[in-house]
Amino acid sequence: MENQCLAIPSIPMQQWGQIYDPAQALAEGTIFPELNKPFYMAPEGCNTTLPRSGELAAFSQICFAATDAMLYLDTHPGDMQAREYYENCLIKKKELMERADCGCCSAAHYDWENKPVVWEGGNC
Amino acid sequence: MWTYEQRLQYPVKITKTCPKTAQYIMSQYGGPDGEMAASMRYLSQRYSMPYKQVSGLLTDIGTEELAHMEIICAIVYQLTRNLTPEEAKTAGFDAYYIDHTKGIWPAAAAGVPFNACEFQSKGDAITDLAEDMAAEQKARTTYDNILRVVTDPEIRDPIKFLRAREVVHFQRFGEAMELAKDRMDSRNFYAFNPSFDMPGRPGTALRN
Repeated sequence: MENQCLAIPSIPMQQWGQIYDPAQALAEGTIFPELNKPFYMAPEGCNTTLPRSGELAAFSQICFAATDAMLYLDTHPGDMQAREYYENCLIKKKELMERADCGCCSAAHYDWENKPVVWEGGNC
Repeated sequence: MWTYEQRLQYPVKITKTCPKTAQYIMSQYGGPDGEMAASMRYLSQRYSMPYKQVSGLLTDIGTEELAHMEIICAIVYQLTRNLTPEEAKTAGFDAYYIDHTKGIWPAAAAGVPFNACEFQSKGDAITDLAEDMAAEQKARTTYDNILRVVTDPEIRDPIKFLRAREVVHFQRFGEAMELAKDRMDSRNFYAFNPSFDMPGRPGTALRN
């Protein structure tokens, strides 16, 4: 914390380091292990070790990794490792879209009749 | 400008109807520390933010909050989509049902409708960023409160995801505060409001 002063908040700038793979990142809610700080309280009898519901689609995983990296880059625009990671996410996202093997990508935007409703629990 | 992606940022698959749970998770849609307030806060504050890097962060986090609002609405919808008239009488959800049936409407857990007074856009860089850091913590506490009482893993799963995002956003707003401080005079961050004052502009002067 090079910027500590009285009467104003100070927070250390994060450094780019180890990154979760995209599947684990989406499951944890961040690509950064050092920002993963879960809450451990749960109702009695609640099985917190149950596997997370459903298989998270590759497209959602890579889009999420890109989003989390983008927010990091918003406050660290000169970080070359982060830029490379982010660019790679965008390339993989484009490849998956071109393959168009998921419900939201295979039909035209306006073809609502033939696509799963987003909030009904369909997955992409 | 925004475009819509036809997917949830995090999947929601809830198979059991539970109007009672829907009634309090709805608070993260239209409640005081909910996702709508979060999104509107950041997307409103960005105009007067004097630092382009920080107003860019407000835009990106405000946009992600819209996706979180959609996740919360999907949870509330799936918890009530198969609601029977008998279940509609569940204590806590009954009053909501009378006014909205199964419609999704932004309100707090206690029934207070969404209100822009839930957030502030103060037009001062330090004040707004301090509010944003507090907002992420308040939302995190609300998600903690939900996780302390909900047992269904199908509900806990997306709630855990949303909670994790609050921690990440808190770090980013803290870093934005650092970026703002770098652009101010550390001898007195409060000498003037960088979102309003332009020292040297005709008609203004720096005086003690």
